[in-house]
Amino acid sequence: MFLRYDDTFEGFLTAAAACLRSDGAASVLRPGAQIPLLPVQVVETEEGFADRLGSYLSTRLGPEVPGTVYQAWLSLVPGIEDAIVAFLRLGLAKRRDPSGFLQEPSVGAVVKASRKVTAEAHFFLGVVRFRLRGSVYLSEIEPAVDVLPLIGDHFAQRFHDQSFAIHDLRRGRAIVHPAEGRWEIVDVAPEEAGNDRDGETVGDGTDDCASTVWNPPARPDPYEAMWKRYFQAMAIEERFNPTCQRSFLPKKYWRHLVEEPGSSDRRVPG
Amino acid sequence: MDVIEKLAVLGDAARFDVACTSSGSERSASSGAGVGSTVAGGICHTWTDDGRCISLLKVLLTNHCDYDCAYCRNRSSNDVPRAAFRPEELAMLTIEFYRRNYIEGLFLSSGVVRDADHTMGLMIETLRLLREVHLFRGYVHVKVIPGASPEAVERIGRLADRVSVNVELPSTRSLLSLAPQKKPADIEAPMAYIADRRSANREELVRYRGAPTFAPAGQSTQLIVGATPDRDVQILRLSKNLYSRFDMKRVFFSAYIPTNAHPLLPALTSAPPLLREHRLYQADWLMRFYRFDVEEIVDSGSPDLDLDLDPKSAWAMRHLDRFPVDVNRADYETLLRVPGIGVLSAQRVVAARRLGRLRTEDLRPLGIVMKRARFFLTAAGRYAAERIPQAAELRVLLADKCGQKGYAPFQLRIEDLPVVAEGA
Repeated sequence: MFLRYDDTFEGFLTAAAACLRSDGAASVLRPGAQIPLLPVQVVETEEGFADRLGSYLSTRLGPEVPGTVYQAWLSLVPGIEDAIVAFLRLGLAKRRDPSGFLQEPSVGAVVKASRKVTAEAHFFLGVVRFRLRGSVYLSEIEPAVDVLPLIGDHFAQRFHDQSFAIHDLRRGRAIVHPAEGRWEIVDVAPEEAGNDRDGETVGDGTDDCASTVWNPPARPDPYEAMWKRYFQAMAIEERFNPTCQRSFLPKKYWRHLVEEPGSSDRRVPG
Repeated sequence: MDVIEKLAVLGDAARFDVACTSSGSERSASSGAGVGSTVAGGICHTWTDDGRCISLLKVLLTNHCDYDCAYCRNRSSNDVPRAAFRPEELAMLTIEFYRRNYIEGLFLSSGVVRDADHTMGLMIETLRLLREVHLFRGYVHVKVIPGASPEAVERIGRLADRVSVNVELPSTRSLLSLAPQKKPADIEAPMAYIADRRSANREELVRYRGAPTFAPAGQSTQLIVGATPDRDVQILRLSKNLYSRFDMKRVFFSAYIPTNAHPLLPALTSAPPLLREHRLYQADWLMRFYRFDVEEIVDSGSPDLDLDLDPKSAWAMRHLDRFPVDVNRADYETLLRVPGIGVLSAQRVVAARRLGRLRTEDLRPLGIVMKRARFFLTAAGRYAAERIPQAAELRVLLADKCGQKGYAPFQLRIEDLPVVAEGA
């Protein structure tokens, strides 16, 4: 049997719980997944179910389990839903957090997916760049997975007295935080985010790639020039190593940075 | 001079100091006035074209210097552009960078102007403005000038997250010949003061949670490698000593890049010993996280690290009689000594064994590097490699690419770092 859920985490958990209650033959489908030839049952999302299941898993299996499941689900790796169900089934059978049983393929898949998401979120704690527009700090990012739900608290605490927005161009969603207010995630209409994504190319010298309706052309921010200059001054020519740089900071993330990696002019040839 | 010009000069002058971590301090943001927080694991904000992480705004307050240390680019007799920030200027710059999420905080060092305490006074004023006027709650790492008075160290320790005094030269003889104005006691006294204050502060904080902190992220130091004839064994014994005597969080190594001609220094054309630096960091890791003692890694008989092999593989090559070990029975300490098994994968082995006996094909998913580990392990009655190689052959198989490539800068992602209890 196949269970289809709406695209919310709550809906997924409702479907996952239905699977766990059944004998194990069910499979969970995300919306948009290819429709199999077998009957598909649409699961009605239960309000408030995530919290209840979360506290159950937390007391029964360990405090880390709800977070691991949520992060793995955010990864959108194909088939992760069924892996999560198998992961929970194993945990419930052994009455402990199954994350340590990495020799099991489902556990490996869940732990790997959750690490991928947390690593991407941690990376974006560092590489979000705010551009000051009027009195508002704006940032545009293109993360590989949906990191907004995981990074909002960090930025809202650290910059609680700033009005800021972090716009995920790939998903058309943004964290919006008014100064001294609460942050939330809002949808951004696609025409506002009118940006073609080609990922690999860095801007062609114009600053247009960073402009949306939010960002009217403004006077250049002197601190952006200072940061760029500082970044170039920090490279040590004798240690120049672009391969190493790119392994930490892949080129696809360069376009939204202020500092222009690769721009240091004192590289030694070879 | 514009601020941007000063920034270029004083960033350039500070870039040879290798420490740039923003870790070890956890401070949540204030719900009241002020900006900033710190995160225990640290956060990298970008990576320079040489592949090093930038986490903090690392600058000198000034590169004017009265000292004439032979190895230093900012020595008084060198003809380099000089600049100085006004404390308010630098505090402002830090805040503005921080609010744009360029940095985790400030890493402040300085050339010596007039004397140690005068210089410290300027640094203290910068940090005071940052903390008390701009209400900055982000990370601050500050270099203590050798010879600073206890009063100055006290004030700076209350303002900073991490403080450090650089040892720079690994032996007294090198120090006396290359940095005649610095005395070993000038370096040790502030280190000892910091260590004492830190342990007292830990007790204060247990008794009263709101007690003012003193350098909550601890102290670190830096040793220059390759400027002097000091051997690896001396460097590692010294760093062990520094860890235990002064409760260091980190001892950093910096491959010497020749900047000045001097009869006692390597020629200007010589390349920085990056591979040696990398091996020293690996040895440092073995001492801090893998429960190795210095004398197991190097000793007076073989005073330098093997450049072709990582130090753990080199140790295993000298102790082949202890291998292979049974991955299902070996205790945690034994697992830690297997090449290709790290702290994390050793912990995973221990956890995974609860589900049942591990087979050789189960090991890779645990994160064990089978390229090396297979020669040292058995699982469920089977040797993990196809056959047992001869020692000479094994040496080739274990050699990492670093040796062939020339070097690989030693950097771990912060999230990869094992979490180790204090004093472990």
